[in-house]
Amino acid sequence: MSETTALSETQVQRLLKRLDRERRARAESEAIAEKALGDLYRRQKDVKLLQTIAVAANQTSMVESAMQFAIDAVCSHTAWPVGHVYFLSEDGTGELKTGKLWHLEDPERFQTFRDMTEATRFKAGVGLPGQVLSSGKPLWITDMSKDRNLPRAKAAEDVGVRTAFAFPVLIGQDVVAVLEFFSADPSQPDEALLEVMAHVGTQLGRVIERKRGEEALLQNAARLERALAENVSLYEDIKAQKNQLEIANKHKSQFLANMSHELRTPLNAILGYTQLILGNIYGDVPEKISEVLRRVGVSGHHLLSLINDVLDLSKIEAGQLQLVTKEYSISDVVHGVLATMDPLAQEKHLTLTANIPMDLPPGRGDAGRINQVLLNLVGNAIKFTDHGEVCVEVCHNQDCFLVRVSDTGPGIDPVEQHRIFDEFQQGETFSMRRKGGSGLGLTIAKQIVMHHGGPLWVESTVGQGSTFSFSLPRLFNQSG
Amino acid sequence: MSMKILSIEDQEDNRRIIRDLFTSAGYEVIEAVTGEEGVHLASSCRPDVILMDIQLPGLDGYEATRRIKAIPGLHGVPIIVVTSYALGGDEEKARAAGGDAYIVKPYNPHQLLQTVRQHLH
Amino acid sequence: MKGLIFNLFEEVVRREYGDDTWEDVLENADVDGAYSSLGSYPDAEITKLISAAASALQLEPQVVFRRLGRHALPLLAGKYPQFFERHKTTRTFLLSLNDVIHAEVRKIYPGAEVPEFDYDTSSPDVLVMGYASPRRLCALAQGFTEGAAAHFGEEVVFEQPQCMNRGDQKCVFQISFKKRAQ
Repeated sequence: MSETTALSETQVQRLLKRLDRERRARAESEAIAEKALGDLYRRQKDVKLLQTIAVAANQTSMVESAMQFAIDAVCSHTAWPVGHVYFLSEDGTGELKTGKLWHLEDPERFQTFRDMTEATRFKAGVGLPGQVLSSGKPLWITDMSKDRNLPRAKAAEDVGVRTAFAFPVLIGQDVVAVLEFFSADPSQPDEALLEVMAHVGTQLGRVIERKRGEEALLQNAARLERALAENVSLYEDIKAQKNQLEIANKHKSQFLANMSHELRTPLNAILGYTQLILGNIYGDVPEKISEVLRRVGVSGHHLLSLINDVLDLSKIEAGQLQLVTKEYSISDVVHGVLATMDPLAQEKHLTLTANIPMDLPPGRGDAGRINQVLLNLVGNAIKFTDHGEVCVEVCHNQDCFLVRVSDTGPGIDPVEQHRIFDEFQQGETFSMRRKGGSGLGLTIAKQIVMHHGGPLWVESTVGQGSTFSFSLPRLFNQSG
Repeated sequence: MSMKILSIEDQEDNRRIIRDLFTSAGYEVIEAVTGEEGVHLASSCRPDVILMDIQLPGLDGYEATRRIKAIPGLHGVPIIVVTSYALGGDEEKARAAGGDAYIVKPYNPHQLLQTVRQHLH
Repeated sequence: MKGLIFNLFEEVVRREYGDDTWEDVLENADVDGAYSSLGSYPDAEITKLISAAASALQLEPQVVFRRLGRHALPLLAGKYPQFFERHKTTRTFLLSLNDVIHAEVRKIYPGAEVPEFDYDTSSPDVLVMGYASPRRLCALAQGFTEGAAAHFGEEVVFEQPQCMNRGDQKCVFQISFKKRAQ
């Protein structure tokens, strides 16, 4: 038999307490669930905000429109009435200045705040945007009017702005812009919102980066075009100068040709008539007259050699020396010079010898000019040697001829050795003056040898004579 | 009959030297003062040798040489070209124009005489 | 400590020792007693409840923890069958604690502070687990293990050569299983 026992007082109390506990536990569970759902919904909204901004940012290359879109979207998402964009100033001062982009629910109400903001530049660390600039992270200020260090604290208070947050637009680690938002209602930091805003900042950073990339490309293209234009105009300049040089050269050549002709023509008359008179063509000439006339002839020839030297040097300096390229025999040239010079050597009782191998190969170059060089060297050797001998030696290898003219003259001291090749330093050398001659011969000889592709040099010891040597490429090409 | 030498030379002194030299050597000297005159006289007088100065007014010596060499029957007449040795390449130009010899001013008159005699044999 | 543990404790005490025992425990523990399974409550409250239950049941607190674990496990198996269905042995179940079970727990109960175990599986017969949580609930862990063995129809020998409550750096469990004779 079962009895329905009435519940005791304690039992009733306990049951009631239990009911109450369970009700409260359930209520708490519901509150937790609601909050979780609310959080989830907010997160979804945040993600949607981020998506919208990302899409808009991707579609535009206009930085201003992306920024405006972003502040409009954030204000709409948060229901905050004021949004504004700062850009990092491009003048290198490292300050933020207004981008003049605003979202204002009530433009009139916030006018003074706007004016003050636009008039202010923020350095790193100063004020809301300045702090974001230096930290590179979002910042939330719960009550702007409470922090007297903020430059706009008073202006904020005047228009009733309380809470503010700002976040950076980043390219990598660099802050290039700061977005700030203001609300009239004080609210606590919303960490989730700040996190989303950090992502927005990165998205917007990409727009700026892309824009900069485009601008850099355009600048490069413009730079290339300018460089190209410069090159073209440079090329034109060079062409013009080249033309002028060619014309100038032609004038020089013409001048030299004319001068040569002008100088030689009267000399031809002087020497020609002198020769004819001495040849008794106009009748017999008394010895006294013919002796004097011979001296006239000598002077004439001297003048001729001076003129030739000056003309040669002018030609060389005008870059007009042209060497003939023909086959020649160096041994013939040397023998010819020796034959010409022999009488002079005889007069001074000097021995003139040659050391020329039998098997010299043929050369290619300007025999006439080589002849001129040798005449000069041998002539000088004879001129400056009073006793002993002058010797010409030739040797060769596969590629070159080497010619050496040695004498037993007084020798040349080292200081003079440098000067003798320089046409402008002849004046001081008393010995040159005494011996006559233009003194240009060595200079010209060296130039000829150098144009012919080889060096000309002297080895000498005072009291032991001198040896002038030059080498030439066996086969010379004008163009080479 | 003596050898005929045509001297084409615009300078008076040079002309006289040539005239005196060759006359005393027994030549008959015909003179022209310009290139054109030289070409005409070459054609009409048929000289045995021609002395051609390069630097002539109007028609220059090279061109005159070319024209004379082109006259039928005159191709074998030796033309000795006289230059002032102004620039390299004168000799080549002379030969290219048809010159047979080449001598540089100022020349030794005796050498000129010798060169002429050489080319007449 | 998540409210779930408190809920499990209440249910175990009610079932094993009756509703009145739980009411007594609550009064003696001097706690509010309304626990939402999703909520978080101070660890001190569970300690108070365990102490009160220990004196009410004339048992050591560690024994109470062990019994809580032993009897709560089937309740958990009923509430979250998905953590049990994929296993045929206690050993594999225990091995899934870190990566499967506790990972999911954190998702369902955000902010839950679950312990991480380390395993030594070198021996096929004996599973060695390391436990180093400052809460020192090794007795609860033993209870859960024994409950799980019962669930999978196995007998378990649970030895604890090292224990933080005995002054060791961490607790070490040596668990060997065998199928219960049918």
